[in-house]
Amino acid sequence: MTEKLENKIFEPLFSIEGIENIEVYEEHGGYKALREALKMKRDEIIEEVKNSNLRGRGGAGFPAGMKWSFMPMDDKIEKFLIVNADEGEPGTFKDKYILSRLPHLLIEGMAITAYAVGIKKGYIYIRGEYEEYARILEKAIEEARRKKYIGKNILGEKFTFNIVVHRGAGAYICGEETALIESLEGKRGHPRLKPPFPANAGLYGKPTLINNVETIASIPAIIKNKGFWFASLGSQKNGGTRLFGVSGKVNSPGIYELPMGTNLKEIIYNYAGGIKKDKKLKAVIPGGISAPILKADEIDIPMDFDSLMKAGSMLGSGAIMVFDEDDSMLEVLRIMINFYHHESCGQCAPCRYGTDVIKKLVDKILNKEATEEDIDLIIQTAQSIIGKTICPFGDAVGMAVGTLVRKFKDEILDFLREENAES
Amino acid sequence: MKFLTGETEKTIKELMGKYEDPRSALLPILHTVQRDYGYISKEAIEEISEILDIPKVEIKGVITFYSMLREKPAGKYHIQLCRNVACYLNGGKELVEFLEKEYGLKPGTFTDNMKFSLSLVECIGQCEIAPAVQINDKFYGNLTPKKLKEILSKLEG
Ligand SMILES: Cc1cc2nc3c(=O)[nH]c(=O)nc-3n(C[C@H](O)[C@H](O)[C@H](O)COP(=O)(O)O)c2cc1C
Ligand code: SF4
Ligand code: FES
Repeated sequence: MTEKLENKIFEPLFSIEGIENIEVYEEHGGYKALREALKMKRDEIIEEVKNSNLRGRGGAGFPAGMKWSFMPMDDKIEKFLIVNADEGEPGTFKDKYILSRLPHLLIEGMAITAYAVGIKKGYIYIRGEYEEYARILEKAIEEARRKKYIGKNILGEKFTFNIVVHRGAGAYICGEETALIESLEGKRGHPRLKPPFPANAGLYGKPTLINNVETIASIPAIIKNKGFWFASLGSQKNGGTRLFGVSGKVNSPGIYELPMGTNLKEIIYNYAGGIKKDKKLKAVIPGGISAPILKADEIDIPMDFDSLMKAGSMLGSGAIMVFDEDDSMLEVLRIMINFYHHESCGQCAPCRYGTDVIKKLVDKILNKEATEEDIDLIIQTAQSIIGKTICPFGDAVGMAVGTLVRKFKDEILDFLREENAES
Repeated sequence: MKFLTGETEKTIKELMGKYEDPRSALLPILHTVQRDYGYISKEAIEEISEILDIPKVEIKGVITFYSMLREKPAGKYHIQLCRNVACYLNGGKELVEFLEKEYGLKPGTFTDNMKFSLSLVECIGQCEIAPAVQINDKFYGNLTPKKLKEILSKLEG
């Protein structure tokens, strides 16, 4: 390979003006990986993805190569590819940079994936609010079709693959893969019981591969530079870089592409410019609102799936939300439980009642009518949801709410005492 | 009499052809009807029910499930203001207060001239430019009451 290997995948491309247009994308090496992939054997491609230690960027961090290998390889079976562009997890805004700036990287990644797994039809399920980005995608798909990167007989080979962009309509739960499938079938977004998993019975009951936008957009670089190169960028079992989205009380909120395993403290202080107005850091949510909160003294930690799991939290969508000494954790709790209460699909009693009970208890706190027992009751109720629901939404409520209340119980108690003193 | 005509009807036919099962076109059809007529009326629901051969109650069930779909008109400019963490802790709350004070606009209501309507929504993926709103299909961020007023004045024309 004559090209210099960059140690980043997205940032060098983000900085190129006009990269959303196919000509510019091609000038900078675009669709070369697809050409290479079409010369490879299909299982060689899957092998590269396995070697890359690429793990799902949607939240759960499941190894991508392994997920692909769960798909039946028989080409007589109709199969689907779905790219999850729902990006609904509060705090998350990374996929929009790929969708709006690098639509062709996503399309190229989809075409390679489809070729490797033997898929003819792909859907991009994009959240309804991203109407503008859906239009950018449509335009890019049309450009790619004209140049024969997708469509019938791609680049003259016996390979056909088409892409349809499908807009959601405002429902967080549709980011969950089986709810997404229901939604794509024209129904309410109610998660399905698993098993069967989508790889066996997904869209229209057919084997379906679902991956996040960032996951699929990582594929062209893996083909170009090989799986081991990608693996070497990150930490152990966590290959590649990650688009960390930092928001809240930092001087420079935004996305930062950094190696998997970069220290959280370093991300906040070196890259995101430290805390606004030199205030004191209070807490950080490291992976979207469903990731259990970390206190200020817990942030000296590598940002990869395994390290955060060990610390009782989650890397999730890589969305880092930063709170300073002025931010009220009770207000965060209020917003969090209102969110979960509003977005629960209502199928499972523990999730439906649990969020309702907790919301009422939080309101009781805000009305200064609560006691310490009420706070403990929130923790108990949260705990009681975990492991008893159809989809991981219930676990997320339990973990995120329970952890926040446990770690900031004193602050909530102080609030209750303060108010009592005033009245 | 037919209700969904002209461009709308044409788009609906095209949408149905994109999917292995035409029912999958339901959300895109509802988006299209809402775009062309401002909201999804009883008449529209009846006709979609016939076109896709699904019961009306199911279509209603779908509409109520998704927060972007509505059975009543909204303002010419529909403001979706984010009430989630990054926005609310960074000035979003003040924007809500400002809209009520300056425009008499409460969440879930219209201004008298039907120009603006407001709803509070969950994170819209613009947390790095919090506080943020979406007005029709455009996002606006790093807002202050003053900046929001400028944007609304420009839209009002
Ligand atoms: C409540 C809930 C919401 C989710 N929202 C999203 C989302 O917005 N985007 C996404 O890519 N994955 C989301 N996921 C994860 C998906 O279910 C699925 O694991 C993911 O799309 C798989 O892709 P990956 O392996 O590439 O990460 C969500 C999961 C749950 C339980
Ligand atoms: S856990 Fe909650 S969101 Fe998930 S299926 Fe059950 S009720 Fe629906
Ligand atoms: S929290 Fe408001 S856009 Fe994300």
